[in-house]
Amino acid sequence: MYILGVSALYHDAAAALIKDGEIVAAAQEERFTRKKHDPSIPRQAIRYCLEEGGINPDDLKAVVYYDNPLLTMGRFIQNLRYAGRDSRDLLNFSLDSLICNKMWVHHLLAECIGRLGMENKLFVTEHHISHAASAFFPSPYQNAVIITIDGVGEYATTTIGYGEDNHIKILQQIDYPHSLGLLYSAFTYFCGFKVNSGDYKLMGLAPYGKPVYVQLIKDKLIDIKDDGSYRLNLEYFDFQYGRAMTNDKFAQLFGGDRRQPESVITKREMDMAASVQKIVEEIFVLMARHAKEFTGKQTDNLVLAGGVALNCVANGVLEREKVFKNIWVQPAAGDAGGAVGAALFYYYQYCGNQRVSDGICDRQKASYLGPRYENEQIKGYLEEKGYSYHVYDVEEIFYQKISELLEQQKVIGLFEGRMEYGPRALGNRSIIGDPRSPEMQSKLNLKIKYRESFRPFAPSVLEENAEEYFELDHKSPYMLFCANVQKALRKEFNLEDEIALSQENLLSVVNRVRSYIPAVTHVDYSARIQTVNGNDNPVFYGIIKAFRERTGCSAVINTSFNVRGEPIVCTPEDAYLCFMRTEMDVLVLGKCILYKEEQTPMKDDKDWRKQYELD
Amino acid sequence: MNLINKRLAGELFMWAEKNADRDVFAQINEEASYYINRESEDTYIMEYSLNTAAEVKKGLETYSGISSDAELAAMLTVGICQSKLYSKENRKLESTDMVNAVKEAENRSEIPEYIYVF
Repeated sequence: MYILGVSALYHDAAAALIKDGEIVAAAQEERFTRKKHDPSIPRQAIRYCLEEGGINPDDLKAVVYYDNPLLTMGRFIQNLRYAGRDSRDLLNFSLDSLICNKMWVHHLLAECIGRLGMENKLFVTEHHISHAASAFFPSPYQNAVIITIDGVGEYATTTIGYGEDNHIKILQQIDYPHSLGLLYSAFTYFCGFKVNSGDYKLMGLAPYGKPVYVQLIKDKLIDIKDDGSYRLNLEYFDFQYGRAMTNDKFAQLFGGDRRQPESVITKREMDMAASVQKIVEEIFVLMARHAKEFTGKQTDNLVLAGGVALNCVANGVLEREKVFKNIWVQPAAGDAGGAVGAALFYYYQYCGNQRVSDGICDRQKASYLGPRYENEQIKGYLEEKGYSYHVYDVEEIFYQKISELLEQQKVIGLFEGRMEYGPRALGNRSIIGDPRSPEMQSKLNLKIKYRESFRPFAPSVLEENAEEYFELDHKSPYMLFCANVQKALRKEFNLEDEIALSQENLLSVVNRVRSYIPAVTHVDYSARIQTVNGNDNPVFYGIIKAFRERTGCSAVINTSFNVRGEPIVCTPEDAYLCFMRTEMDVLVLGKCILYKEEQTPMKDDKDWRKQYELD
Repeated sequence: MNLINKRLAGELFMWAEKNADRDVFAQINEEASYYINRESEDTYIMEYSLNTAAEVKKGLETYSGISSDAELAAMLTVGICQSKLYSKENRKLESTDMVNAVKEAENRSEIPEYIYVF
């Protein structure tokens, strides 16, 4: 039984194909259209999924969309009543999409696919059911408490539920406009980053600041109950009018106007980031404790989804609190993951199919669910283009060569196997480097990624050696948990002094050595860790293992293969363009290695950065 | 925004002014918890196949919480159905304003970066 899940028309459009409960393929539309966070009907992602499954639309048992437009309309109407005479912006910015697209999503999808499966019908799931299903059904657990948190679905912004076997149930929820996701987005906006796409920047900024505004936020902006439930004080926000996230009253509370995008980041923004991060962490822990008690189930398992579950710092705090022994987070926790959730919900709960899990291995396939290119295809592409390359067919020599290049401080674009589903690059569409290098973080930020200098990079570490480097006692294959670098590896570093000396130039702070692996150690000694094993990704594992044998270091820097504002590369062509447009030294395409100095510089490509709007 | 939606937006604006209610989000138990208990599983998943005006109206009344407001139900039903007619017909005619409006809305090019996409 094939089922196609689709998310679209809000944030990250995606498609997912499942066969008898197994995820066959899943991908975000942005990777194909090269438009970051592309929300449009995912035509190319759908086409890819059907091709990967080797099927036609007629072979689909059902097509399932991840959101219910009629319920969304209900929330929109409620919002209109709240806004009253201030509803013009809400109507201007939301009505078209709601009336023309969301209400007729079945027609748009039918036009796109040709036919909505065998019965030519579209099913829709509730937004948070899609998230909950994406968290529970692929998880390793037979039962689990489920928490979903995002900006907003139809009505719900937060849900607590329980999953067992092939059934999930939402037990409690918090409804719009009270939203932890929207609170975080409000701070993202006020600190000068983009709503919907800049939240992870705020998380990266938080360790530079002190949480001095926590009490102010609690006094004025959000009332948090002991059970983790919360309510926003709408007097300080404008999102409910379809306008900016915050209003003048919010600005007064924090001593002036919002930071203008791309301007200097001051102590205020750092402290605001640190403060709202603390609020999120506090709510996570309180909510998890309450959920465990409220569900009344004797389970050690918690699963998470929704955009806020991508907050790996809060996930790390939750993990260390040990409210639950086991936590699994959907790697595509944002809207893209809704495509998988909607399809799995149909298969398991609607159709009543049996679900079996072993308590250890998840069913996410390490999130390598996107397109792959075989070596012959890659060689064909390189030959056709006339690019210079070297083939390394013998695995051991291939790994040795890459580890040698890493040791020589080369920055390497790594394109291998199936593309990752979700926002994190996990070794198949990654840029990698030597984490021991003190200059690597700023080099990668400014010369390769062209992004803000304060942003940290993540380490990928051999699973068996992770505890040598990090205070982490569990696997983290999806880079969704933060933990500190081991004390023995740290070097003396006083953040407060460094910031005071930096004169608001965070680059000088970033460049100070903080550990044996400075390029992946954030200013608070934390790291967003990916543990790598030989089963999930033998090639990436082989590369890191060879690097360890050569240098004694079991970790590499791993950042997504893209530049700022660009979606992660999907094809060899995307990878080659990104390689040539940046100061990357080496490109690995399958078993082919390309050196920058052997390539002919690209002509007439000076304006390439205009292709990608800054995120 | 296309002409149909401009007209509908104007009508909805007048409706919102007339029916403004600052307490519309206030129906929450404020004692010890802000969680809302949930029992119903009715809308977890459903078939979605609106085609006729009667189906649109019924869908809105059943799921969008507007069953008691005939004026609003009628306004939305007409607007939604006109959008469908225009969008479906005009999708075939590449250069119409409606197609462009639909494409624009779909691409969200008109949504400023500081606006949350609802």
